[in-house]
Amino acid sequence: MARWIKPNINIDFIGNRKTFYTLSGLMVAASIGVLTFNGLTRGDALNYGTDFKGGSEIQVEFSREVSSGQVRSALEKSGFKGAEVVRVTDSKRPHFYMLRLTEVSAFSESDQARVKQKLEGVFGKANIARFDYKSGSDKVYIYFKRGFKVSVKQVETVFKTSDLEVQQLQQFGRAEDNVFEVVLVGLDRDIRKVFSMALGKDVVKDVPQVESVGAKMGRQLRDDGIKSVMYAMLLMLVYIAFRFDFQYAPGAVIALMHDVIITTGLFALTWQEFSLSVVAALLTIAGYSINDTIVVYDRIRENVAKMRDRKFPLVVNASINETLSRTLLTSLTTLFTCVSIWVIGTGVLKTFAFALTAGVLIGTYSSIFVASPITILLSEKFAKKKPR
Amino acid sequence: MERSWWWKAFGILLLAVVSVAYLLPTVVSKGRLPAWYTKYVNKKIQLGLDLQGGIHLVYEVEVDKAVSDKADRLAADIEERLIKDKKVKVRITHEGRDDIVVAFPKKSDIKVMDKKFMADYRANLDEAARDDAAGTMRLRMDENYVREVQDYALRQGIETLRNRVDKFGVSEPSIRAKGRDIVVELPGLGKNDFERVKKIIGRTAQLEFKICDDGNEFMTKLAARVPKGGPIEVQTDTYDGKQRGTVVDTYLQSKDNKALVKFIKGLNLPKTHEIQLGVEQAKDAKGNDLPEKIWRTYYLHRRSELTGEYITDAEVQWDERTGRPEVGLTFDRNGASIFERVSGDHTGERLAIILDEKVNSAPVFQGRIGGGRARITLGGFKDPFALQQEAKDLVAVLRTGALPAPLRKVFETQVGPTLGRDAVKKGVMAFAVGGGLVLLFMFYYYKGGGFIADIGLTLNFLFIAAILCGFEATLTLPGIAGLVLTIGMAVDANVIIYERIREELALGKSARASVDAGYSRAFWTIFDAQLTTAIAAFVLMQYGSGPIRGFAVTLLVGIICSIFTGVVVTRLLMDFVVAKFQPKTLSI
Repeated sequence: MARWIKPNINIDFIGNRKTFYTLSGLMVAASIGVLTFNGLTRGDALNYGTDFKGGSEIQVEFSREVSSGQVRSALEKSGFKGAEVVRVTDSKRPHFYMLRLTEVSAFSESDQARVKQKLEGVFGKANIARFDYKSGSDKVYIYFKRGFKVSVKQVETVFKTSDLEVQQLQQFGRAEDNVFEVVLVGLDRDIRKVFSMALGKDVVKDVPQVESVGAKMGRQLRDDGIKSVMYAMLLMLVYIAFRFDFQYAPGAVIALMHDVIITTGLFALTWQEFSLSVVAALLTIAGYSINDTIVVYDRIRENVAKMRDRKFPLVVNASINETLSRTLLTSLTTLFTCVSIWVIGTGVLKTFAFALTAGVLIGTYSSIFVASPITILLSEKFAKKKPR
Repeated sequence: MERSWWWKAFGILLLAVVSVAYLLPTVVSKGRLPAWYTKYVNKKIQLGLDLQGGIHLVYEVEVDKAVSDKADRLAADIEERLIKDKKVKVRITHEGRDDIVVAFPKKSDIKVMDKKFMADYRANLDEAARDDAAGTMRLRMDENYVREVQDYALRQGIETLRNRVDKFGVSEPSIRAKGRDIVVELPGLGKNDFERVKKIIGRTAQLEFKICDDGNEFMTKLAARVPKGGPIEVQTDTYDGKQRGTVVDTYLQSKDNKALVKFIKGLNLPKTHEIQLGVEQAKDAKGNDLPEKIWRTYYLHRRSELTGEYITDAEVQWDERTGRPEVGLTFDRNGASIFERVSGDHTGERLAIILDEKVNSAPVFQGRIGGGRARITLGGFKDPFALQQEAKDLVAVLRTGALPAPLRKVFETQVGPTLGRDAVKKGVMAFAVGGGLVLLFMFYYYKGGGFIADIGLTLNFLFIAAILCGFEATLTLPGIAGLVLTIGMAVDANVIIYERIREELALGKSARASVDAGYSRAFWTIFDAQLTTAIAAFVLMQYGSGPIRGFAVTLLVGIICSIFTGVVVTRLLMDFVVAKFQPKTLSI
């Protein structure tokens, strides 16, 4: 019979609780710090994938049979990580693919500024209502003031004299809106280059469309998600306060937030793609964390009734020790699955499993060193006000 | 063994058999199962877009229609304010997409359109022309406002579609903007469902209420011009118009929709009026139903009195007289008061209920109607079951609100999985290794007890899969990973119980007493821990949408099955071992 943790084990977890408060505080602060730092230097706190940020959808028609694996590896070799490669069933175009990449720009910011300035110079600032470029696409929309007379030719000249190749230029929508659509050359050429380098010349027959795509997780979906998580935490607080005691509830929720924040911080630090699957992983971590914490709480509650002569901190310490074997074993079995998915899986699964592995480790740590010690902190606060 | 034990064991065995039977259509490839079997058991776990691909639909948003509608509403608003607040006579017409022309019969009345009056529309309308001498004024939608309306139509279109697809119960769809279009991707569904979902998606669900101008001489004059013997006939109806006396309604009807539409397009209608079509079932001379449809015209005031925006709820109900399903509407407070006023002002006139530019019905107002309810009847060419389904779908679209602009499908195709085959293969291998390690570890660490836990875990996986199959849930690769993880975590219940039993044994209790104490003490721990998680899952299911809801459902199912197998199933096996072999100590 295997028994890795002796039944009479007695480690002083509580004695050093100040050290662990500091350690956890530092980790949370560091996570928030990295998130903020990324936000300032890279423009985004996390490396959001197309799920959140949208990107480009590029349609590619190949001239001969190419497997989706080949397409993917060609893209990855050229640095397009996390590309979604979808094969389209089309009887007329047998080798037709749709690629979704995180934003690639056909029109650099400096070029945008240059063209905008030139347009304003030629047509007058007051006559240009809006200059619209959705990053990820190869289309620019120029809105002239209504009634201002301007021809396709005039607009084309501006682009040509700015050394920008134009694929197509036409009036867009209704004539009275006075909007011009400019399709730039650039992205489709890059894509052609990527594939001809990896798969041979003339492998690409056509790149019929390059278009920006929006996020799968739209704003409403995200707001709904955040709101529901808030409600969930609130209800858990109420339930724990009701089933146990008020002093238990904050610890569980703080531990949960602690775990989720640090895991998110790890994503900010390693700059791995943050997708919808990672959100699912974070929610799982939250569930795991609360589960772990409640098991220890349950023992504390039982022991408070049993060990009336002992002080509360000692009861907590004894409870943590008694449940230690279970805490570690459950972590271990959970880690078996997480780590094997992390090691063997690829792509989405790898990041998903990375989040879970990190989360389970942090969750185990927090249920021992964060959640239960906080109940002591709160009981001390209460004891001062209301001596027993 | 006690009798109750056998009953419980039999129950669990039965559950296991049912689960396997349920899962067969998912696991065994199509055609390998006998037809009689798939006739009764046909639910399947769907695979998500990442694993098997699906249908890819691209819709163009007709944003100009949204702009035109907005101009309509602004025109109506200005008219109402001028007549009600300023007490002047005015004729307002909407021209083209952007222009609103205001004409005062008494020319000097134009002075009411002063800066103060126009200030309310500063963000929406620009003054394009003004002729004080003629008493006319041309207002034009502001450029920025036009763009705002167009952008909103796209954004709101996406949200509305998402809600509709969600209501239909398709899980794990992908809905996103692509340039100025909307792309909808749906994972594998049955062909019938595809057609229904497509219909729901494409439906504008624009509901309008307009007053019929029956008895207007325009129609009687028009009737004289209809070529005789052609596909279009002239008809008249009479009804009791209360204080208006008997009203004669002259209308055109035809079995040929295209001919009628073409004829109407060629007409020079007054700008204040419009003609809409309604469809009815053709009847023979005796009034019996004929199988074909017949289209008829309604001559309406162009202005809509009420729109679907004022609806708070819609539900399927049954018409007491005919027993047919219909859709009941409830207006919000504002809508109810408008409806009450309109019904009072227009007693004896007909109100056309127009759904997606088709007149659904046109009942006569018998008097002022309070309470804010109305109903939509459904066309009678279908069997009751199809009608009921139509009513349900209509309720779904009305509840999620109208699309701000019509959608036009521009592209439809079948797409392959987003994940490569090798990624899926590796994923499946990872699950097998992970799950296997858990089973092996439990057996190594707890020996006999571990073996019992392993049986429980296997059953757990089976039950979860069967329940998800019952929901026809859509599984993505991360979803499956989540399931495997649930197994990893489900072990928790057994670990808690076994650790407890070890503690009890260490205290010197007998095998039976230790098992009893272990299970009963551990039960509340497991219960509290799982219930707290379940509360979170439940909230996520209620408030979250899309992928978050899917996650919550899987989590909840996992929790229920884990408690059942972890506590009930393993207990049963443990009891068997204890009772049968009466061991002094336990292999745990």
